[in-house]
Amino acid sequence: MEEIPTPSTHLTPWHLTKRVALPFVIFSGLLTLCLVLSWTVLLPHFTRVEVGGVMRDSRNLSSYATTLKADILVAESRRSEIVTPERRGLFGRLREAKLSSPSFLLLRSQILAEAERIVLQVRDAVIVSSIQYRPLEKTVTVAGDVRNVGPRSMTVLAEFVDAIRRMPGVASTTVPRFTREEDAQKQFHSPFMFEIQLQ
Amino acid sequence: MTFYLLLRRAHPILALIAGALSLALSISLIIKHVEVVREVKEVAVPLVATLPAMEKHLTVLKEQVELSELNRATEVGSIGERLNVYVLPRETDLQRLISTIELLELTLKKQNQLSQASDIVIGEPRPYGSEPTVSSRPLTVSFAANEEGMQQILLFTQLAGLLTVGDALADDEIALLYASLEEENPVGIVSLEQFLSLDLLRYARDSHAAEDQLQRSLPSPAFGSALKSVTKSSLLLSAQRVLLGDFGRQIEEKRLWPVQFLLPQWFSVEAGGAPGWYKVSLQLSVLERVGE
Repeated sequence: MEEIPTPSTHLTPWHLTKRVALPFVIFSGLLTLCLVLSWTVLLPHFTRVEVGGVMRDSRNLSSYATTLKADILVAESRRSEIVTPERRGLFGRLREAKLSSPSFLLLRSQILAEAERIVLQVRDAVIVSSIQYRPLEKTVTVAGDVRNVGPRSMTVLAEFVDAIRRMPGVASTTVPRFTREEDAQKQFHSPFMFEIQLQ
Repeated sequence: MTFYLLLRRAHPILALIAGALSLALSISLIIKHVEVVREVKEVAVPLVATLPAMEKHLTVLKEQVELSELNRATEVGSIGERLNVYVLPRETDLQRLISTIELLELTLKKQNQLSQASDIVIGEPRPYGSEPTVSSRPLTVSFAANEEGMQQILLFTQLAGLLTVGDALADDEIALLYASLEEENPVGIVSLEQFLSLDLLRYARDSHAAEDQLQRSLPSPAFGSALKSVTKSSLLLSAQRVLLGDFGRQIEEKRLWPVQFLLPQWFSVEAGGAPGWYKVSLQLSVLERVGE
């Protein structure tokens, strides 16, 4: 019969080990058993869902979603291929090159609107006399004259250039030469020319 | 009972080691449980909400692809042929090209929107950009036109080379029509396909008939509003502006449509001799196919 130490007996680590070992192994064994059962039976039961007629866990769901997305892209591409076949190939590329540049009419109307907006109280303060557009290079050259604003013509020109620079789709502008000249009627005016680089 | 006795008889150190291993296994299982629960919360729950819609979308797309394939099988590749013969020919049909520009000039003159036109200068073909199977001839011309005339000329250059309604629509505009179609009536793809492959001149000459026909097949208000938003904000509106009047009628009568592909190189608009009139100068690339 194994000797069980009484409180008066000195409790050595060996005795402690002998007393704890059995409950410890039983506890951890039962805990493991419960967790294994949970892992194999309970968790799949509560975390799997039926999608597309198949029971799937979360990992399967992710890969299924990825497959679905890829299939959708393929089907959309196939649909475009059939419905608008001419958008692909050589014609499609040339059409894209042609239509991807901003419309000249739209650019022109934006530039003219800015020119009108700068000095609201003076009609024809900023006169745009020429606009050149190179769609493939995405550059616009604007030339004109600022007049009817007295000696402020250079300031108004600077405001106009700043306004153009803030227009949507504009990447940058060159800085025009700021000059104030007097015409035959002794009126101040500032002729200008600058280039806009589109995005 | 036997197992219990075996455990009792086992050496305490061995029992401790077995317990520790078992506890380590338990901890790893607890961590795995936490991971699975987190994955369910973060991945599976949102996916479960979106997967049925994705499955439905795919089913609709497959159905549309089948219908479109059936419809396409009954059509002969007339669009491709017209592209090769008129839009991107092997050699520029100079008579056809000059007649078209001349017709535009005469029509605008008759409408007092253009006062004069310069000589039309066409250069020799040269390689075009990164496309080895394409060459381009520079075409330079200038006009004295008023605001409306200038807009007509510039819109014409945008339309030159486009053949169908679909060509005049941007990708996002077509995507809007598809999305509206998928929600309302997926099998209407055939009607949409017919609309998109409709000749641009035919559409511009009678846009109401083309749109009404499409709307009869797809009568929902949602599709109607998508169609309206697309037709009123795209190049289709420009096509109607340029081709609805005399110019469109004559280009049809004289069989000058479709127009050869013209790619703008530069535009210039300068103040003209009279207020409201401009000198409009253009350099266009007239594109031709080479080789094959």
